[in-house]
Amino acid sequence: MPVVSSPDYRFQLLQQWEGRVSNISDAEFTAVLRDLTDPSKPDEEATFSLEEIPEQDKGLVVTGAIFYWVIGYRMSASGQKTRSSDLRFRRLPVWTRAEIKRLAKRAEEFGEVLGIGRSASAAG
Amino acid sequence: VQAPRADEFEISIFGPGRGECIVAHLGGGDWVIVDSCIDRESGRPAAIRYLSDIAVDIAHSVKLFIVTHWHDDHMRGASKVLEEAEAALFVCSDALRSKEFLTLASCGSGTTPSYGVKEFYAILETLKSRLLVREAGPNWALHDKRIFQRHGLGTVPLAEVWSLSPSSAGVTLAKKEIAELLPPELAPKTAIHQSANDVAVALLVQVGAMAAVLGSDLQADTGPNRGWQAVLASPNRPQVKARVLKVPHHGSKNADHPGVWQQMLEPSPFALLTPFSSGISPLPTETDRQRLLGRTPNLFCTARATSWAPPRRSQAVERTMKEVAIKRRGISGPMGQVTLRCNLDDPTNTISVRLFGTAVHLEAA
Repeated sequence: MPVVSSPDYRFQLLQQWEGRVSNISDAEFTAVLRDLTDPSKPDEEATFSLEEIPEQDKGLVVTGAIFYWVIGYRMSASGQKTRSSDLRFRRLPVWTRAEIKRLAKRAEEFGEVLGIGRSASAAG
Repeated sequence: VQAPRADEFEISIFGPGRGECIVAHLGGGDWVIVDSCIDRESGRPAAIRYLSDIAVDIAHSVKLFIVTHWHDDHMRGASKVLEEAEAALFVCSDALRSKEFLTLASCGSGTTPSYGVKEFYAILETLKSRLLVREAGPNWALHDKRIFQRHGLGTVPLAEVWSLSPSSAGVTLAKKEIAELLPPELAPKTAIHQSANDVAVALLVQVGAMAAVLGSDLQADTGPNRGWQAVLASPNRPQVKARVLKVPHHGSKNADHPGVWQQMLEPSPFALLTPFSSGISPLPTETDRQRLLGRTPNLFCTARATSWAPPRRSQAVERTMKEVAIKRRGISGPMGQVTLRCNLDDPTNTISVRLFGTAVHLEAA
């Protein structure tokens, strides 16, 4: 089991998933979970209360957003062992102007080969 | 399982719970693959695994590979299928023939979590490299278009594959929707939203007297000029009645048009179905099943279930999951396969059915 140490505690990782939000309602969201600890395990779907998400992260909960769910044991310096669960949304990188230009260029190359003509710029 | 003889028609549908693939033998050793899903046990595309198991020369015998639309559940492993089916003509919806879609698909070169986009990007790369060495570009499927023809010879009859959709209005709308999906500058790199099923390619496969309608995810509730309403209204599609239907959109009510059963199918056709186990309302629902059973007693599905028990983990992890998640479910199961065969020489076209894995004959309660 991987163990992460800090001056105050050690963290023993038991399980980690990458989640992708597939649906959001007023109080809940549903996500498809991909097992990062044992990638041979099939995807599953789970529904969570939005209350599980820290207030500052709630704006990140949108369809298609990516988050990580980590379960493990926190062991304090005094020897106390606590089971912990952490749902953390990834602050996704954004599309830059240069990347959007690269997309358009690649599309243009495909378009020329496939005979579809010149590519449009991405929106924005 | 033995490969079908040259004078046998065969159609197989594969479904792992979330995903769909169809493999058809047109007689004469010619094969068609429609869409792709992954066989969890082998990690390979279901079509590739099946054709390898029955010793078909995939590189040369697969004549057509059709991707009906770019939704994740129809695309997993599609780029691998195209790679292996070297001689196959690649067919996709005319609605994707746009500079905007090529731009969107180019997002698949990065770390997008959208499978459909990633797979399409890899397909475009394969097509590009093939086009640089030979004429091997895609065929763009549109309503009332014959996309494949093989002349009959001896006991092997004429075979044709027609695309019945998308309609012109569906293409126009889908192109507009795709353009709206292009990421603007500074937008976060979320998964790309996949819009409705206007672009879906429904197909008619005809071999001698045998015909099958493959419904993709084409919807019936999208207005008179699109979806099934447009297919039914068209005077230019082949006016044959099919004995086999791949039920559109996993049996959803929004894809079921009574006119399809009345005008395009023989009575009590063989109807093949895959479940869609993800989302708020997994398909087919019990109501869907009963409605379809009211249309035909010959209803076969690759799985009875629409959800499976999630994989088990250690006690501590299971306990925490129960505390944190409101509900959980497995969304993919073992592969189910329904295979229909008939002898093309047989004037009665008697069809035999074989079920593999989780596949079932759905019967009225």
